[in-house]
Amino acid sequence: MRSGVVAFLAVLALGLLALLATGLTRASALVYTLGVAPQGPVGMLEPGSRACQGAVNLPGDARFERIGLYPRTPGGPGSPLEVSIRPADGGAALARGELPGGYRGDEPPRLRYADLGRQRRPEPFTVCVTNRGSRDVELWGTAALASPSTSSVLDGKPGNFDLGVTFADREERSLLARLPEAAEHASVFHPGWTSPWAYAVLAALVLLGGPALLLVALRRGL
Amino acid sequence: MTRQGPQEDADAHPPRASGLPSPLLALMLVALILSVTWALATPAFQAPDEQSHFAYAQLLGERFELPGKPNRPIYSDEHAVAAASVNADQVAGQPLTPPEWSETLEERWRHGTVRQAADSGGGPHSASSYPPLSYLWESVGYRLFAGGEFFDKLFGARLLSALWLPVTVLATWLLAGELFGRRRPLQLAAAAVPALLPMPAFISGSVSPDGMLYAVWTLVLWLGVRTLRRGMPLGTTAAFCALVGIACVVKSVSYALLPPALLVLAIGLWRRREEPLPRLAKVAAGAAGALALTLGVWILVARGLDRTAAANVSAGVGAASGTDLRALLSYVWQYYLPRLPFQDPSVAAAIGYPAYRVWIVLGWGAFGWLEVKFPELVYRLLAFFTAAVGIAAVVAIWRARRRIELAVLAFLALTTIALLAGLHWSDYHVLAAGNRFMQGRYIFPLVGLMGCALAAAALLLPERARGGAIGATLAGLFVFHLFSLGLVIERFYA
Repeated sequence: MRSGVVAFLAVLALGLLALLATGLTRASALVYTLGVAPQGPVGMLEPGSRACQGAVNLPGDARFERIGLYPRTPGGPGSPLEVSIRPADGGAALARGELPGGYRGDEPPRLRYADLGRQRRPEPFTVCVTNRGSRDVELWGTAALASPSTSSVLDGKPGNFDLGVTFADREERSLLARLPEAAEHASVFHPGWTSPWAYAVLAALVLLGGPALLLVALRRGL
Repeated sequence: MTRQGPQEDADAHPPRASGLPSPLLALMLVALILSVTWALATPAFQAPDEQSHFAYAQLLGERFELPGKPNRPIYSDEHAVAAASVNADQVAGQPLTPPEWSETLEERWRHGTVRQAADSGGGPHSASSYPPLSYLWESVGYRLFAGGEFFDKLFGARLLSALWLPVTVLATWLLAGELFGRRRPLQLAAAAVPALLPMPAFISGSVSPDGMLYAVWTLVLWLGVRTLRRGMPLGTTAAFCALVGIACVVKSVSYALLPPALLVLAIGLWRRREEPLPRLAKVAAGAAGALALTLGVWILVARGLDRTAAANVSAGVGAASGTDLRALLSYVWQYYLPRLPFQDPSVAAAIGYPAYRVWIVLGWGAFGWLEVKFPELVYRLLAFFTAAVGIAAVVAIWRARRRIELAVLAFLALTTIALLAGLHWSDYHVLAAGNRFMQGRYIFPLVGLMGCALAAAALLLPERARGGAIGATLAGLFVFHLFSLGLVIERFYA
């Protein structure tokens, strides 16, 4: 029995250390995404054209610094893009950033970011992308309905597509550091009684109760 | 599996007041915690076919009707709006797309949800031809949470499914007790497999017939062995047949249990052939009655409702006439073994090495709509572990061959072969039609046997090393389970 308990504790300790190391080394800067995958080129921006996607409702306290898109310039280096956010009901830009040109024409394109500085926007807003270069730019996303809460506009006309738009911090943070936010995210569109605290209790039950019960099983079962 | 007495290595620790030995109770609690955790961690409809399964349970919970009416929408209005609000269809299978997590949009959905009908579904979907028993059970959970919002009701249905995992653990413990005698370390090792493997917990924590299926199959395995070993007593035999019938009303794949069940009955009756006929007739009537009260009732109900009692089986039998037997056998060969020079590539060639891709990768850990996976190296290590346990179990059986009851071995082997034959038959035809069918979770009706394979493998170790190996295995499985939960949290929420 004793050897079983010792082996259990030793492997558990090693495993938990590995889990901790993984949680510390895996990182992300994601704040929010419209949930639109880059399935194909859906919006073609000629020089000077503008495409917008909105209205975006960020989670309550969400702050972001960068907006990510999937742009691609066929057959050459990427054209520079201006990325702005505007009030959902119209008006001047609330913030602007630039996605510098020269990016590679990968297919499907990689997520590329424009830096808008630190933003906290509790009110609905629209994300607009303007082609500031001299070559056409494809914006990748999917057909409309991919983001049921938003819609697109291309040069003032309704688009039948949704752009892949992602909001991110400048710095990545470890998965471990992001766990409180993950618990908040997991509380949305879940049973009404779930909350970050409920998930914390559940985590404690799994991380403490699980090993304790397995120890009981081993001590009484071996 | 061996002929040693059931009380050999009897308990040093007496059963608890609950009647369950404390190691078993502890394992069942761990299984419950883990399956409920999955029920809460998995976003709505991010488990295989959960939309269809939930639609079935909701229709039963709201109207006590079976789905499949062509003139009705697939999902209720409430279901369709909730699924769209959480962006379920876009998230499914798309690793870059997390579910909606904006509280503003949740609030908007909440205010708009009061007018949506919960009983307006009922159309045909991928599960609408399935038998109803597991959905009926899950609809109880749905009704228990009917006073709440949509996602409360979804959780209610998931929770009732999650309750089956501890039953699977219990049944595995009992099965190991029949096979190895009441040797606690071996029962513990066996029951730890369904308790700690992540995929059974993930599936049991979703709305699906599979959680109940795993439990009922494991109970069938236990009672089948018990029927053979105890000389076919009436009560055990009737319970065995009732569970076979119940399994068929949970999911049509359970018709694969009929050949091994017939084998058990035939062997049992043959062994009692010297007894007076009325006594044998009583046992046979008990067995037939139990099947009639379960499967028979469902067949009558289905006929009354103009439904096929086992749509999948009927489709499979219907496909038999057009089957290229040579190509089918070649497919089965290439599923597990390298292609021979004279063989054409099978219909599964595009999958790579199917036995590895399906049973190892999708069996050990593929979450969400199977898109949430570990790095390849993890599966390779798990493949070595699986192969080592499998080989060790075969060696253990070979070493104990003189003490093994052949009837028990035949029953377990036939059950395994019947399940695999049914799965490969379906897989071959679906692949030939250009689609994919096979998933790792389809093997888990045999999760109790997998547990017993681990226990048999432990028998090869010297007694002084066995405890350490079992302790290390339990910890390894538990840590792997934690990594699986972490993987899912990262995929969907971080």
